[in-house]
Amino acid sequence: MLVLFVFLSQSSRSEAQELHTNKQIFYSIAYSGNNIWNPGADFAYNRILGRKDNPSAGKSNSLEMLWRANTGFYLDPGSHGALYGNAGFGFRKPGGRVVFTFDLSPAGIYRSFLTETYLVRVDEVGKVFLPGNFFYSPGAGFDIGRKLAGTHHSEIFGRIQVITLIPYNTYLMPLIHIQIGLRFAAKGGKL
Amino acid sequence: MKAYFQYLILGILTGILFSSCERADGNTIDEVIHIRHEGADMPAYVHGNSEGNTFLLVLHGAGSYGLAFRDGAFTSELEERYVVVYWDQRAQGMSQGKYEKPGDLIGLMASDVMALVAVLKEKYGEDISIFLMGHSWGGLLGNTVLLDGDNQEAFRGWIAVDALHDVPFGSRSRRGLMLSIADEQIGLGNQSADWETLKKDVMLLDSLSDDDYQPTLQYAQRTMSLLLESGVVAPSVSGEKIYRAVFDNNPVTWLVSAFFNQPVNTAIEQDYSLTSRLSGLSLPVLYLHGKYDVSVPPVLAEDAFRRISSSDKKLVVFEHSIHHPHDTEPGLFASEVIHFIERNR
Repeated sequence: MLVLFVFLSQSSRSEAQELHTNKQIFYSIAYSGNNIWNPGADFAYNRILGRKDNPSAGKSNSLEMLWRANTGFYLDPGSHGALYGNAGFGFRKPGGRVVFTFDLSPAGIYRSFLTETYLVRVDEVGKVFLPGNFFYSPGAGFDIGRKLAGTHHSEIFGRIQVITLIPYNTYLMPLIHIQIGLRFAAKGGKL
Repeated sequence: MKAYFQYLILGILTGILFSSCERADGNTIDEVIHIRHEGADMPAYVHGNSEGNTFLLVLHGAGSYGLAFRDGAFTSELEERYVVVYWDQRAQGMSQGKYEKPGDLIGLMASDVMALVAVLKEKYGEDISIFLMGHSWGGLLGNTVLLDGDNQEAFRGWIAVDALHDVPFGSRSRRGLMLSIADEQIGLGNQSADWETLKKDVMLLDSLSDDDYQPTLQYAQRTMSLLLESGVVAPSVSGEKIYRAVFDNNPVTWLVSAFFNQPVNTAIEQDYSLTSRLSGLSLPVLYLHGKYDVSVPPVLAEDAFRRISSSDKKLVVFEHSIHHPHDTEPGLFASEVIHFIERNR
């Protein structure tokens, strides 16, 4: 990601390309299914940091860099629920009606919520208050969006998001979220 | 609008926290609790009839998970009479937590079992009767629990299902069992050409060689396939089992946990054996074993049966089963378990 960022910065100096610093903000809300069927929701804040246009290739070849933060939850009815939050950077290729976004979130935190839990220490047994565990949870996501007909400020999207809980037991645990949602620009902006 | 949104979020979070609360209907227990012990949070799925205060604690096999047992004989027969505790062992199934890889993994897992027993007694009463059941690797774990200190006193009986107690003995026995099964099927005229080919290949194996360990497992897999194709045994995977694996369980978490953590591999590396200590078992024991189990050959059950000092012991061989008699002969399985529990609770 750092390499891409440097590339983006450097390429803005070339005569053939232009870098815009449009601070457009947009939000998204999505059904977020952990393994599809464990229900949940995800809310994201995105802020475009800059856009690189390539006039010779037309608008469809522009690339936006964005800052992204999201939070969400899901419920695995058989065993636990969880809240999570991530923040990082992403790249968005607006193109025409179809929009592609890829993002990496090195900063992430995840908290599980377990059912009634008993702590056993030597011969003592006691109930745990708000049982669950915190995990460091970096993540990555990819989505394909489509602008809604007749509007320039909202789009629907499908997204796959993977976050990895570290350390989980003695190693790690990836979680896969499949999301379907709506993305909309803030304050009458355009997507 | 903003306040409404906040209330919505609060409501959803409250739902998460309380969605899995206890559901008790008369004598029926239907809940999920967790046991926190030595860095691990391990779920126990507690279901069944509590009228007789009798609990059956199930130790699953390698790479499996507690709810894998929750169908067939367990739901239709055992939960009707007893409370069945399906437990995900440390780093298996849906267990979570954070801890260093322990030096004595099997010893730690045995202490997890006793932690679960302590929780069951704390929650459901000191007077409950607990029977321990272990399948395959769970058998090795159960035997380890029972042979440690005075742990046997916590249980009314031990039900060993295709259970392991000696890893090297299990490995050595596979070749002989495969050859005898091949001879039997050739004699019966079942797909004789396939069995002849298998027999020829298996005869080349050296059961004492480490190099032949993986090939032996591959031929064991082939043996099981031929038994299924010949209709000698019934398939052990039902639609209900697949449903539980995918929806009641989290398949990604289960498979990734099993990928990173295989306690049975620790037992294999250590040549783990309890044979010399089996005479220390004195509680009532029921051995249930599939005749065609090439994973844990039935000769292990026969060996254990001879060695234990229990006065109340029984060995039942399931004539049409491989490694999962509870799935392939559920009627006989349930009746033997019920008879054993009724006699000893």
